Amino acid sequence: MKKILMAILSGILAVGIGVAAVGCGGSGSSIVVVGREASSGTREAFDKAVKNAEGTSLDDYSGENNPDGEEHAGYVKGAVYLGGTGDVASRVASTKGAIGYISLGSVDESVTALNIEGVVADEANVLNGSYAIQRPFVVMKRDASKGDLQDLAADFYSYLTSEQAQGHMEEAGVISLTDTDKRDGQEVTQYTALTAKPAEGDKIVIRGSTSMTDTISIMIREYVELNKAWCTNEMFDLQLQGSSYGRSAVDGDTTGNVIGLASSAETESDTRDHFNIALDAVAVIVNPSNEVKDITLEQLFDIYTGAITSWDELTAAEE
Amino acid sequence: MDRVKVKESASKALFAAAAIVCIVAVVAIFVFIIIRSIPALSKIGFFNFVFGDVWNPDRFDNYATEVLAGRYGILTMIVGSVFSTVGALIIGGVLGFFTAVFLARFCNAKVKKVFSAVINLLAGIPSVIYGFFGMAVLIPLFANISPTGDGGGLLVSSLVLGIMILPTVVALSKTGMEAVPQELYEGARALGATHEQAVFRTVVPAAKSSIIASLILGVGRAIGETMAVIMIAGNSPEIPGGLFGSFRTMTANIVLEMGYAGEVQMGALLSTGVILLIFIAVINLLFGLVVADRKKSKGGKKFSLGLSAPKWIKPAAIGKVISWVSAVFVAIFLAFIIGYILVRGIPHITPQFLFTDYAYGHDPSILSCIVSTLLLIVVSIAISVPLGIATAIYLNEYTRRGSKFVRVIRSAIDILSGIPSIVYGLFGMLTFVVWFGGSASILAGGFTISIMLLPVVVKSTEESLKAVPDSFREGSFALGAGKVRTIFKIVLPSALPGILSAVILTIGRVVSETAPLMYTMGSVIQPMPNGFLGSGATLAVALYALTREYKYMDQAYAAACVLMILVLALNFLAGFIGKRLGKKFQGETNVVRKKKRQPAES
Repeated sequence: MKKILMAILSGILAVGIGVAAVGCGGSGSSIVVVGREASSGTREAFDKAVKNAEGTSLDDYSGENNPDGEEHAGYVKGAVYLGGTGDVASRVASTKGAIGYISLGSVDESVTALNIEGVVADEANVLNGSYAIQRPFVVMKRDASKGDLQDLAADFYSYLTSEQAQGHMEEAGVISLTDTDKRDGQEVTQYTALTAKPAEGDKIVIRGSTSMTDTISIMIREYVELNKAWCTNEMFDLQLQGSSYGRSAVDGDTTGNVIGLASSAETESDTRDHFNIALDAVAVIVNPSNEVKDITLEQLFDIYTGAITSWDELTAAEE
Repeated sequence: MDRVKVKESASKALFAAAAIVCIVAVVAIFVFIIIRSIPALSKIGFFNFVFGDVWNPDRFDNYATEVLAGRYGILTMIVGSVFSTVGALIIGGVLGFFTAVFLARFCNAKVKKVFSAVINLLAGIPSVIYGFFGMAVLIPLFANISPTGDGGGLLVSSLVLGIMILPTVVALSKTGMEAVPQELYEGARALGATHEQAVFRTVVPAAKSSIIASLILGVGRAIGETMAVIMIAGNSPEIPGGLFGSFRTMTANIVLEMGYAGEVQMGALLSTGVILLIFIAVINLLFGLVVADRKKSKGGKKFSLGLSAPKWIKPAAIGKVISWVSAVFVAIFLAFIIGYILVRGIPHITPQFLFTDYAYGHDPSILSCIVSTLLLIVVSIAISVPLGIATAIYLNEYTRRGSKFVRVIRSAIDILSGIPSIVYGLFGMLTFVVWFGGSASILAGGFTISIMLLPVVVKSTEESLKAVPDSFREGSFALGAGKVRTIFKIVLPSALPGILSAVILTIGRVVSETAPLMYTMGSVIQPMPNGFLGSGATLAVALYALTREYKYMDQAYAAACVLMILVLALNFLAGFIGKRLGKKFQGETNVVRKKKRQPAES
């Protein structure tokens, strides 16, 4: 009897401690800064687009040529760095004061996408360039001077450049790109399915950005469907760990079967053959309970560098 | 006669060879990691590396560059690892200690039996599920009380790590307290102490060294944990600013950046591995000292009351209450984590999810992951079990107990078992992946995880072999059987139940590992693997991949559910086999023993 009483009492106590711990809520107005890990293309695109009044971008700020002379290994102290779109979205959806950024195609009703400088993140605004935080999805292969791709990988690459491929971009939640200039010089081609498997190559190795998971999965599905006479899902070796992972895989390609995917633009100094397959907007997301609906790039800069730490400062500025 | 001799020495050579492979594996890992880290350490400077507080690597730094563009200081991560480990120790250590007291002295046999099984379950849950649970449930919960508004960080990491080390702490401390001679307790009672006083003032102090040893083992586990931490900690390379501060551990640093690291950066990650190894070596050393101390103090030394009977437990009854509360808390937590995942997961386990082959661009399904997991089990068991058993046989049957050679192998195996799994992953990525064609494959993953499993197999097989009474062997020899015959006909069959349950637990380990496989075997859900050289994600890795894809949270719960059911089933199976076969064989071998003794005695 004593034991049973003891069990009940301690049960109540254990639950009580738990409830008490959770019950006394904190204030919800401080900002929780959520970002992505350093290898992320989404982060690179965001960091390059977000600038303060002097034109310093977050990318400069956290790099070694930061104008203020100090060294910052990343965002404001206490920022949270997460490994994927899903991590960021679920953290923002579950944390009242959080702000984060994810690919526009992944935004759903559990989070709210903010307007940037008064511009809504949608296809038209991304295409005409008025929505500031956008990036291309880049498909890469090794430089031709190192040798062409094997026939099998080359055929898949030529499918990716094609008009047929562009037809599925909407399903992937990204914005179709047909303008040759915007595609970094790559024209839209016509793809004709092969009747038999190319003799050279038996595997297509795809490495790169997690943001492009949907896009590339749909591309593979359609390619396999078009070439179903000979092509199977098993011919693809897909590993997605971040844009940097894709770039280093292409750089290290010695057999000619690697196709890299990056979700931020290639720079002039990069020597990989590449083209932009689609455009994606990076949506800045907050918890649905947040009253802020609009934000400027400068405010974003201040938030991510720690000059603004409370949502009250933003709402006060609006009024 | 000669043929027998040849057979004997050939077998001995084989067993010895297996033992040597074990040593070579340890030496290879150490040498490889240390050699590959030296250029980076000399480029960065050891002092800058260990005491630098800025981590801002540049992918394009290589050993030829004059001035490094990036900064490579891991002080913040050393602090992060230490803080979270201390936090885990405070939570898991205290909870574990009091739960162990409860189990050893404050409950009846039935409760104890059920509860011990519950604690074993806790040990079996894969770390990626703990991480997932922390991310999906605990972080939103703690966001309510966090002054920063974010629930992740040090506190939740410590809580999750604490729960993860709890089984280790409970198991060892409980055994220690049970081993305390009953006379001590009875003496205390005879002097007028209450039950509570007797427990906390005599039994607990007497079991001091076991309790400390259990805490040290727990520290080892907490510092090496990777997956659960990266899903919760926040991962910013800074010193945690408060209980909800974001921080990064050394293990997290390795797994976050190893996929794309440049030359110097990779060297710096390997150096992070070296620092981890140093931590583990120190922990092993401490453990060895404590255990040695325990052995000494058995010789009738006066038990000191100093450390473990804090004066503030004036009425030992408080201790009793805390024991109850701890035990109930652990039970509630476990019930909650299992219940929550089952409730959220089961509705989404559809035939489509389980039984269709995944095709790109379609909804995720896990048949191919299950197949990959099975293939991985085949590879890793085929490598680690024969090698491990042979090593154990060599150690237990062929060497003089306590010889130098054996001690070297034993300590090698101990160190091997303490290395964080992510260090194996790093090693595997730089060796096996390269050997098997430069791309992640089931074979590469299998080799990586086999090295990891070796110490587990060796240790548990040795335990089972030790449990076989020497009289069996003597009887067999007396009847004229040779060594090999004795081993295969007498010793191994008697030890079989123990070995079998060890193998099943090993399978459980393969199923639940994530960190060492992401870069050696595959990181995203793929269609059916192309044989052993193909890549593929295991179930645990698939769960991690699904949590990174926001659209598939339901499927993530379903995958977590399948994974947990699988691991729990393996645990039950291991327990069942250990017990049932144990009884059966005990019966048979008893008969054998009787039969053999008769001629010997007459």
